[in-house]
Amino acid sequence: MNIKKTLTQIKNQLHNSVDVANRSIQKNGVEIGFVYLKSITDNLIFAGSIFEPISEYEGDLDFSIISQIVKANDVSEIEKKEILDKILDGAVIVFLSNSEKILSVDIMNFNMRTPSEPPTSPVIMGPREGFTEDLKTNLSLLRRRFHSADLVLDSMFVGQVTKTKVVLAYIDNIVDKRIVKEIKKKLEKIKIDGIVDSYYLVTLLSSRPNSILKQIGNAEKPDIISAKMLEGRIAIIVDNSPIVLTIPFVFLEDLQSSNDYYTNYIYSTILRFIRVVAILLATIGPGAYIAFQLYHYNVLPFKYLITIADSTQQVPFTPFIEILFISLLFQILYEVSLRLPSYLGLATSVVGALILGDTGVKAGLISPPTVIVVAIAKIALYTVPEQSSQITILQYIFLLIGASLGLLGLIGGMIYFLAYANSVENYDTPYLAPFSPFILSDNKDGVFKVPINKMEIRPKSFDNQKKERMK
Amino acid sequence: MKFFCQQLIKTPMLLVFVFMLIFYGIVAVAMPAEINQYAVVTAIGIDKAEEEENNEIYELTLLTFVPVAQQSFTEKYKLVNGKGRSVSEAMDIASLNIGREIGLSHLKMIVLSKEIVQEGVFKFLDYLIRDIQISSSTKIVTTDTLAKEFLKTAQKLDNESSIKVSEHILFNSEYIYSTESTLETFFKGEFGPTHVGLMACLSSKSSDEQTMPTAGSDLSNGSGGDGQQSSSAEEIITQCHVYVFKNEELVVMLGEREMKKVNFVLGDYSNGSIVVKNITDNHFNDANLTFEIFDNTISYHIVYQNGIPVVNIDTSLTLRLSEIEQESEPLQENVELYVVSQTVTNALEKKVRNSMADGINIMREHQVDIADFYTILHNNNPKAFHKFLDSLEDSDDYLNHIVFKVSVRIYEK
Amino acid sequence: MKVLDRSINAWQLGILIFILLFANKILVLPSLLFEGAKMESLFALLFLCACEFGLVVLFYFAKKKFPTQSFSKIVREHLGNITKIMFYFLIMIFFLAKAVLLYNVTYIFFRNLIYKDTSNFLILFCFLPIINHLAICGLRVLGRTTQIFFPIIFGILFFCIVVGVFGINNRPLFFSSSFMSILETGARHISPFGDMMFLFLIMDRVEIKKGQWKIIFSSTAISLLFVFAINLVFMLSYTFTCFMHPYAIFEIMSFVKEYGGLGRIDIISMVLIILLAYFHLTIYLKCFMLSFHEVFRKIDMIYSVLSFNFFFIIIVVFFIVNLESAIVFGQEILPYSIILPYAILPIILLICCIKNKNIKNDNFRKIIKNNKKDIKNMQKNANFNKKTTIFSKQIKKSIFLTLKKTNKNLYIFSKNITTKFKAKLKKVLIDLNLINSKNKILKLKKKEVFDFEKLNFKNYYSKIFMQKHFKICKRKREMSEVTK
Repeated sequence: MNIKKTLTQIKNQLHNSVDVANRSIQKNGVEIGFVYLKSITDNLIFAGSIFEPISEYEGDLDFSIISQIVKANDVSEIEKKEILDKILDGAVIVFLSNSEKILSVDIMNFNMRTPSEPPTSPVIMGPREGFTEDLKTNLSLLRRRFHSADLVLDSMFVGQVTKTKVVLAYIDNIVDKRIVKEIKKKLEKIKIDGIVDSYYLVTLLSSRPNSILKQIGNAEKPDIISAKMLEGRIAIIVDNSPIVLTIPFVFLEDLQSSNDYYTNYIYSTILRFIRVVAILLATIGPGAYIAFQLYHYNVLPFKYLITIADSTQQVPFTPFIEILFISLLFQILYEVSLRLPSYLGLATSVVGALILGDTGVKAGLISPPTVIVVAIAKIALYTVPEQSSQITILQYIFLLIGASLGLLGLIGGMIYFLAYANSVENYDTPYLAPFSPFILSDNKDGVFKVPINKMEIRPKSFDNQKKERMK
Repeated sequence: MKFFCQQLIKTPMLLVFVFMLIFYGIVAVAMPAEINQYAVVTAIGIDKAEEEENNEIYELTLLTFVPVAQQSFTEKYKLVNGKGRSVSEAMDIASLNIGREIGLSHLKMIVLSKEIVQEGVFKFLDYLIRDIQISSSTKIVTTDTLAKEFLKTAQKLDNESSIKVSEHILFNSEYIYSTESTLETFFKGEFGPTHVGLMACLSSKSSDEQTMPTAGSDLSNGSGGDGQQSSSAEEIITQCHVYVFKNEELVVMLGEREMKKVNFVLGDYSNGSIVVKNITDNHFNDANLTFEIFDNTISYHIVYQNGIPVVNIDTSLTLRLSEIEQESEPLQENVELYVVSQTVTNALEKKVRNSMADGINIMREHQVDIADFYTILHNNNPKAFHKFLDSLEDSDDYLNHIVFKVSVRIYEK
Repeated sequence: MKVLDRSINAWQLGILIFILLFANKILVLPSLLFEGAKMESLFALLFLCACEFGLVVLFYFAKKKFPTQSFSKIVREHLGNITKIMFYFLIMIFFLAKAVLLYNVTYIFFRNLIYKDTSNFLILFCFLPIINHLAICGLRVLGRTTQIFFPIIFGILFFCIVVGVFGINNRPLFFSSSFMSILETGARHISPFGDMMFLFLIMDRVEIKKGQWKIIFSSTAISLLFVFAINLVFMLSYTFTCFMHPYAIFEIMSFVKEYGGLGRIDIISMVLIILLAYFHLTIYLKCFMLSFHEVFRKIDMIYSVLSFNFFFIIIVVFFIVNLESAIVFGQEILPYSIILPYAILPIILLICCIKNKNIKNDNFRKIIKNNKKDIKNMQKNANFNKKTTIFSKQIKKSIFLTLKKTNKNLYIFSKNITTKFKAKLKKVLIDLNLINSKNKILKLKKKEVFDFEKLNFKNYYSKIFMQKHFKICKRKREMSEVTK
């Protein structure tokens, strides 16, 4: 094999990128060539584990000797067509002038985040590890939790440019294989340039990609993913993304928090009820308030009427504009708080609280009841943060319905939306299960939560092979 | 977008719904709050005004809630008048005077003056009862002054105290009126078999009361001296009568004492007290004892003797001794441990029996079946009762032909 | 247009029945009943409720007799296509009329109480798109949506009744009406009843397993009990002033309007009325769609919805425009239509049941003729000896199954046999103790003949299954095979 030619070819294939490193040495009449990417390999390991043993070896070098003297775990012979993929995966490719065989040594190492508590799922008691952007780390987090040969990690590459590694993780003797097949089929059909984050796959794997309803579950913590896999779900881990997807998904999953399983079950039940009430308040609270103001003043109790009437007298806007204005202000504050550097956060909260809340009311631009209603709705939104985007959209829709059509429209809108949600079935799993269709055994971990020793059966909302999980 | 449009075309009603949302949404942008379009009326007073050109004119006074731009959330009211030949005409004129449409959904009280009541109540209530916004639990009272004056006093009292007049009436309905004095109870009586409706009568009086300034408070004008006192005449609302209507006409006005006697017959007298005088027994010497009534159960047993119904009224009263008034000796008796003697029991039974008898006599005298004996007798034995009614010359006068027997049992709490 | 009309289970059907039984019975009806026969009108109501329950019992027997067939198929097979079309045409009109009546009463309630000075179009176009969407989404979606709202509806109803009881402080007058007036009142106000006919329209779309019939009956009974309770509480609360209160469920809350400082609580009954109105109208529309489809088979389903909307709007806007005209329509015109569920339907069912026993289906003979060649070919191609064949034959009215065994395995061979059929057959044979779960033949002699009529089936459905499929097999003279 002509080493120089080969190395030049590879460099050209990689468009002479600045991080392409190649080197060749002569040893005992044999030319040995190395090519790798500096940015994703560990130079120290290359020097200490690959280059040094080879350069210090006294005898004749051939392929089999080199593959033995190299001090690395993952050493394998590869085909020519695999060279580029291996280099891009962080391997060092070793060529020998006296052999047509090609050696690949995996020394991938790049800076990555250590597993830490994700900001979206904090817990008071319980594991605090979270997934990171490194696939290997994520797989190791899962492996630690399943000391079982039944844990299957099935990988495939998605994305014609990025060739992102996607791993399907499931428990072989629990999961419904039809769903696995279906997911694999869908992944294979994807013809996209690249997958930057796991969220790209959400749209591509959903049965109704244009729906506002969330159809694929996600989590950032390995304990949550493990629990879901034990129920018969499939986890989809995407390289470079800390968010792991789960299929199938039901709405109930977002009502459940990992904290619920690490505290007293009665307290968890109370918290779940509060979440349900919060979702209702967030979705239809502002709409109901505006509907009563515009159409149904006569059903308001007299004392509330006095409060609302007195406080809205001096406001220059109509009630609908006022509530839209306040909602918009809250949304702007939220966006700002996301993007603002932390040292400016204090100033923003002062501006938000004092100027919007207090001064605005005193100046007569906005009324206190409206501020309270909108504030409660916006805060209640985040009791279920996974559904915050959907609930925000619904909030505005119901606000419009309440302002246009009143109480009748609001209730009609609710019925419409719930009927729509009931018609969504992703991977043969009804979206609103176990509420509708009502599955009694699944409701043991629904709004009510029972102790773990009473949850003997796996969820019946979706198919799995083994129903019994505890005796 | 294309997908959305395709969905809309497949379901045309969805298109209509979206169009409605957009259309009414645009309208909603400019729509003011409904409270600003209506004048919220909490009380109505109806008086008779001066006659004009041989037409009877009625004056409607509306106690209207006025929203005020302020942070203290106090209720501010305004009295608005309207005159017309009928209630609806007066209402229209009042609406013009306010400059807003009248909203009656929060109406709590209707006040009729005495003249109106004597003229005939139904023609005034007809308009009000047809308006579906008005709840049937709206209080309806009469007053011996002008309804306008009564509303002024009521407004003042409402502002100065936390007890509303309507709550005052509700409270008293249990003690005195034996009717909630609402539109519903009135019409229920009128349209019932007895055609008897009750209505509370209140009046506003001025009482001369002196108000003392509290220690440390500023004295007006600072004109020296300490303990300067000011006095002003205050208006208060008092119980007056209960008006009894039969076949839409005012039949009798019952005072408080008379009403209490009738209440014994009704069995509604669960509160209040009974006084027995001049009791002499082992414990007392010529004492007046006051007993508080805790419970009052009443049952009726009817038998027919020679076609005439005999109504046995069994009353059980649970009482508690609450006050002893003895002139000769100071109080020595421990009231809590006192056991009612036979003398006292007999005196109580006699008192109650006499009161009930008086109550029945009041009803007989005016031919007003307030206790609804008609329904009790009808439900007991419809055939026999209607046979009895047919046998009378005047079937309306059945009370005078029924035999009542009263038995009373007293229990001590 | 595709209507996703998958099946519903017994619970969902129970909830639909529970909700539908309130249609037209809790607003104006109590006041009208009292006007007719005072307190004794409750007897008329009880009788009418019993008739409604009777329809559910009729449905039970029909489902037992024809477990998987649709009602239209039953009528078509036994009485002909024309009868079916006429019957379904009448059903179409029946449900359209009921929807119009319900809408008008509810619309006027809304307009007077919560939507003052609002045009009819706002309320009409609040209802129509939602009910269209719900009906088009299919029965399963409708069933699931009602399942979510059911606890709210049940809770509010219970609350209304309990709160209404506190408003009773009257002495009602009993025995003031004659028997004739009770009958007359019942006859005049029969139009809100007869809704249970919808069960027959969805007969083939309901899966009711063994032991689940009690759910259906109990939900019917509880719902009728609630209807009766609301009527009773209303009449006891208002007695002689019932005529002044046209909206019963709303008015029983009015007494406690200022409930302990909470303020108005009758808003809860308004929410209930709105919810019920949406679901009732959806079910009526669904029934209209199903019957339209039976009458005009070749027309797309979307036209059923469009025609419903068209006629509905025309009648509501131009003909029945106020409460009085709605009441006249309900009292004078609609009662005549009640012969449909209470007379025509039972007669049709009776005729179908009688005819079913003697039916000779010519279609079966055609199938046998056509398939004889195929069966012979299959026999030739199949690699098994004669001893492994199993066949069934009929002698007179009994059905006989002859089994032969070899190597202790059971072989059954059939054309177009599905895995579901195989699994069911296997289950039945296991129940009969003929084979065990591994297909091994138990207690079987070399050649054994069974009389199906005398076999001890563990459950009724196994018997039906065997009768149905082996009748076909018998006719076709097919062999059936189940391999391991």
